[in-house]
Amino acid sequence: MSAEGGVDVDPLTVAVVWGRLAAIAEEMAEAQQRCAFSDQVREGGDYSTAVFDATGRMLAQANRSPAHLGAMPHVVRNMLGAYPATSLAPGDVIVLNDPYMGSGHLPDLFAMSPAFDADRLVGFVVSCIHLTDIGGPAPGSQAVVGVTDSVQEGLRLLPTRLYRQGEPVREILDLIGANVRVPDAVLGDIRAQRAALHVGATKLGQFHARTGTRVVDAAAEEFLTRSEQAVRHELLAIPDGTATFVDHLDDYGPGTPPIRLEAAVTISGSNLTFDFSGTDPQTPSSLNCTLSYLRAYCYWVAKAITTRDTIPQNEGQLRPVRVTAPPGCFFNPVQPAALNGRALLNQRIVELLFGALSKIVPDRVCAASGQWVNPIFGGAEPDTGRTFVFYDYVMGGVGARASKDGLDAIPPTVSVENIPVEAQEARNPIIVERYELIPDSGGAGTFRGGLGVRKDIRMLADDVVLSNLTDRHVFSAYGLFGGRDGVLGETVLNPGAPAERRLHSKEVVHLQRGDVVSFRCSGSGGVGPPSERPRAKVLEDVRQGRVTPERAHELYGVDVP
Amino acid sequence: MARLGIDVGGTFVDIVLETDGGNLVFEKVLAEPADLVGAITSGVETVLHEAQVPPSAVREIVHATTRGSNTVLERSGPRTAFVATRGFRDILQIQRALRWSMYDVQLEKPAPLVERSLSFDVAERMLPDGSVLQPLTEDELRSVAAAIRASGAEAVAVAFLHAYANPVHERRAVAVLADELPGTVVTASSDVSLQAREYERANTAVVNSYVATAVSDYLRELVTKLPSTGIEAPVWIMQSSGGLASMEQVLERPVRTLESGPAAGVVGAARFGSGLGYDNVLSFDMGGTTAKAAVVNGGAPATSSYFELQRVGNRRGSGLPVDIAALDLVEVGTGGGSIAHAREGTLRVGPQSAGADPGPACYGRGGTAPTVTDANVLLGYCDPSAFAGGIALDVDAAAAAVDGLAASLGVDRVRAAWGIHEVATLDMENAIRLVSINRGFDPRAHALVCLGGGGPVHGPRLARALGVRVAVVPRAASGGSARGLLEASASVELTRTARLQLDDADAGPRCKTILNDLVDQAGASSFGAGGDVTAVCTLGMRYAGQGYEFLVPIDVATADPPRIAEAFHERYRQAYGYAEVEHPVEVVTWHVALVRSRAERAPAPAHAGGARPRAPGRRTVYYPETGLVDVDVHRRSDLRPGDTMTGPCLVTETTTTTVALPGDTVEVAPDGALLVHVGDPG
Repeated sequence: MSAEGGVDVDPLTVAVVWGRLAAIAEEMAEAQQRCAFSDQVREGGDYSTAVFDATGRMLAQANRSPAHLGAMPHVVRNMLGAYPATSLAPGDVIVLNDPYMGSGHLPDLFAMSPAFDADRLVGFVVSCIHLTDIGGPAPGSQAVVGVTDSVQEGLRLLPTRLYRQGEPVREILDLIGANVRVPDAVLGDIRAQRAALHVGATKLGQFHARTGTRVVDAAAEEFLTRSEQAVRHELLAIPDGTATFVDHLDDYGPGTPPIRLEAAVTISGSNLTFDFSGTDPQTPSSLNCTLSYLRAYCYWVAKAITTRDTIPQNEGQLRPVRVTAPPGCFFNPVQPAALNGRALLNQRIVELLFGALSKIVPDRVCAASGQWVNPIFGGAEPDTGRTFVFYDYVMGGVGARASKDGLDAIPPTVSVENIPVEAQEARNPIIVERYELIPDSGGAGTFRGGLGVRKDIRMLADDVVLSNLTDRHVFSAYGLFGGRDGVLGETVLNPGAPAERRLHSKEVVHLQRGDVVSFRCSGSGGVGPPSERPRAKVLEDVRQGRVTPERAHELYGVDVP
Repeated sequence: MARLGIDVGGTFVDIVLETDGGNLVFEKVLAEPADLVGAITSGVETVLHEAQVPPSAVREIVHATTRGSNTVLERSGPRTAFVATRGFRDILQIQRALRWSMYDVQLEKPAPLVERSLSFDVAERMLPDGSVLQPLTEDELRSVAAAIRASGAEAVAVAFLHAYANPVHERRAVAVLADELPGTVVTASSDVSLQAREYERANTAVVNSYVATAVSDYLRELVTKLPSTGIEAPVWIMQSSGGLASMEQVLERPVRTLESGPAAGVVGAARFGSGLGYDNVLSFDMGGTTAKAAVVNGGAPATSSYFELQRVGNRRGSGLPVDIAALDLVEVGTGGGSIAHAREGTLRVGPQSAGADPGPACYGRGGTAPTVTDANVLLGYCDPSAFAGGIALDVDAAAAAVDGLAASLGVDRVRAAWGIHEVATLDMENAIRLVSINRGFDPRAHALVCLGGGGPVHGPRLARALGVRVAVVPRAASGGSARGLLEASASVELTRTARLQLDDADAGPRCKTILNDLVDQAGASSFGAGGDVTAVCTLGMRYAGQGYEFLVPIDVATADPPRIAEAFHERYRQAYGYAEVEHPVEVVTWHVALVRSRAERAPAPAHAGGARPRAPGRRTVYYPETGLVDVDVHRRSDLRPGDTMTGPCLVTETTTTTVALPGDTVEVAPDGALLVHVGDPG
């Protein structure tokens, strides 16, 4: 098949080009994960990769963190604004982490390389990694309190050339290394991005050489259109209408008020609009959410109710979706608002929209999920004095679905994985004392919400700084259609000891050797009245220790024989 | 003296008999689930009869079994209990928790083999360095045993944190539980894996206990009934690692046999390749429901220290993890029976499969969905009058099935059939790239060994797409795994996690100590003494601070830290275009395989061949390079070593067809294999 003599883009050619481009994005993702240095990338999967065409359209994204998706087209445009395509050579790597140029928060470093077929630029490959640290007031750079503007939050890079024709620009790498707490992990991850870009640019160039750029471009145009049509086709089958939903974040630090989140979802023909005008203004903390991050999870929702995982994500599927939030809103903060604490919002955006969509497409959504906890510990190892940043995830569960129970202990939206405790203990001065499901935490319902998780971590070093980052200590995960809310989460310092104290969900706290912090994710919401749950299922929950006999009686009216 | 390879698959039992003259007799019989051993013994009798070999001449039997993996697949194992470190009884429920289908609201986690009510924890604690933080209390363990007894569980797994660094608590726990629960299978995690990752290691122990009874019952029945055929030869079992184990070894650790059959195909591909002078091989085995691929470098199949059972659509995290050495296989849900369908106005193939019943439309057994095999028939690639074991194919049914799809895509029949063939091949190409380039292997430096009924049909096209220069079709290629069994060697593997930075002052001596210990420990197991045993070492290495290891083979005799580091840099460079030579390298996993060399066998019979054989037939075939074209059809049984043919042409045998493309040259190797030398893309 060649490009000469007209471009043949029948459906079969489209399938071949589409499949190969998606596979290149996956191959990049695998390279990045294998080469990475930090736990959140190599074990947790907090990164993404994508393939763009020469005009800057995103053709395929790997099935990784959706957070970066909404941002990528914007990021690539800004990079090309600073470094026009004609100034790029094979082996170049351009990076940026400026939140307002698309990254969303400073720890997310985007990197891009051009792909060439011989001396012709045929497209771009992009990688994004959540770096372990980027400076700022607390280890891991995600402190919410005591931060009021973005400059406090760490090192900010506008579009910057980091590799020139394969050679590192030493002074920039040194600059980054000098401004972060764990330069080995950070620079190691950047090298992993370079590895992924090398793999992607090489493959993309070869694919163009083999298939012909005109064929690839024409096929890409075709599958973007078909992807868009697939989304529109699903939307058309849904009755037109508008629905709104309100949820609240607990607050943005001790002594602060709740943040009211409101979304209006409108389905009109084959168009889907998400409007966040009713949401509170931006906060004087790092808990704010850029429009690009908001968009990323709006796209997540659009895909979850239409094409799901039947086709890989690409720009065509974003076309039917419009996202609006007024400037100065919590979801569209203006400079110099701080932003690094936004990680806990991924599922909250989805839940807000699912709440509204439950009134339109109840069978395609789930009740609210257990809030994940994203604590970061930092300090020095007692024996070696080596600086460590211990970045952890504790995943709650998933809310009940329209016709089945929720899930215990798995993230509701993102594709990150639990980091093995054996790996965490080998690399950080900590001991995990408990890692268990929390009985009775799932919201009761005809379909029960997933259980939350408890993880207790003991410090083996003095002077450790913990930035807690979680929510739903005050506002619980909602149930739907008569299902109960999930049980609230909490963070407890030294549980059971005389010094026991409840920690705030966004508290920054200094810990000493022997201190234990117990993270308890909130439970997920249920669906349908608990009274309609079959007795046998309640008894099975009791038998499996997911529901106690007392709660079986109280919530379900089932007495355990 | 003759040898038997018996591969039990999902639908068929493949039996290959190799006579002392090197002749091969191949038989396929239906795998009757109700009486599998009966099906095997009658199949064996048929083969012996056909070959006119007396049962007493059979010197050994090499067997691949799916009994273990089927037990997991069907969830037919016994109630199994789990005992963990205090605070960690839920690790089988919590898992690694990857959203393996990210946007799917209806997602489910892989169902654990142990229910929560059968999960227990006891006070004890090890640290990562193997030191004891809290001793094990036996009294508590005895009360857990009482609870397990009361639950009716018949199998138990014990997994304590950091047991890979110090197994003493686990061993003590197993002793106490075995004492309290006579007749119950008890597995310690450190007995099946020494890798650091609690969920994966714990699940490996669970799987071992869960499948133990089914595997041992089956194997005992087999060795009891085989003598009825008159054969009195030892039975060797293929392990997931590609090495053979004795019955006794398998009964100790049945979890090692889960990927038995697929491993056999790869081992075979490695030997077929090296026999022809190709030490770098891509193994490509395409059957009715799936295709499997693996990389062989320097004659040794690439291994992985991890795989998943019941993976869905090749997605990581969708299956149950097993931390056992296995050949690094990638499986695609694309086989001859895979159904093509239109989605978003374009074409997809699989993952639904027509299976063996009703099978592809052309089987004429009521199937109406267009499959890969139907497409291959319409393209002229498969002989309608002689398909797998003499099934006559219904071309009209294939046409009707494909026409429906063609209409919905707005293309003609042949274009649609070609599209199915092309998309199926592309899926396999993408899968092979994942196991090759991303593991640091360049497919262009490899030969593609084509096995299974579909391997020779798609292989030359796949080779061209990958840039591979030669596709090899061995004799009896369609019985790939059964043939592979006859190429395997007895082996025992051991993997240990022990971090060692190669620029440490004492790296040299520590390296030697670890390797020697592992070799000794492997040798001390039931592998036993005697024979000519070689140690093959593979190290899992990374730059200090990374989290994933590259498996790099090393030579035990000459291994020193600088050489080991250089081998790693080189592998890294192959994969990613550069190496971080200034960055320290660390070894994390140490993998030793003791391999007993095989006795050399007589070479295959050689016949003098003609230069350019005349083709006995012609057939109309479609290639995108030429359109519909009449090509020569050669019968494989007529060909002789040294014969060469020019593509486009077909070489048919009763169970498959080799499809050579325009520009290809087909050469018959001295051992009877077909070498398809790939021409330049037209």
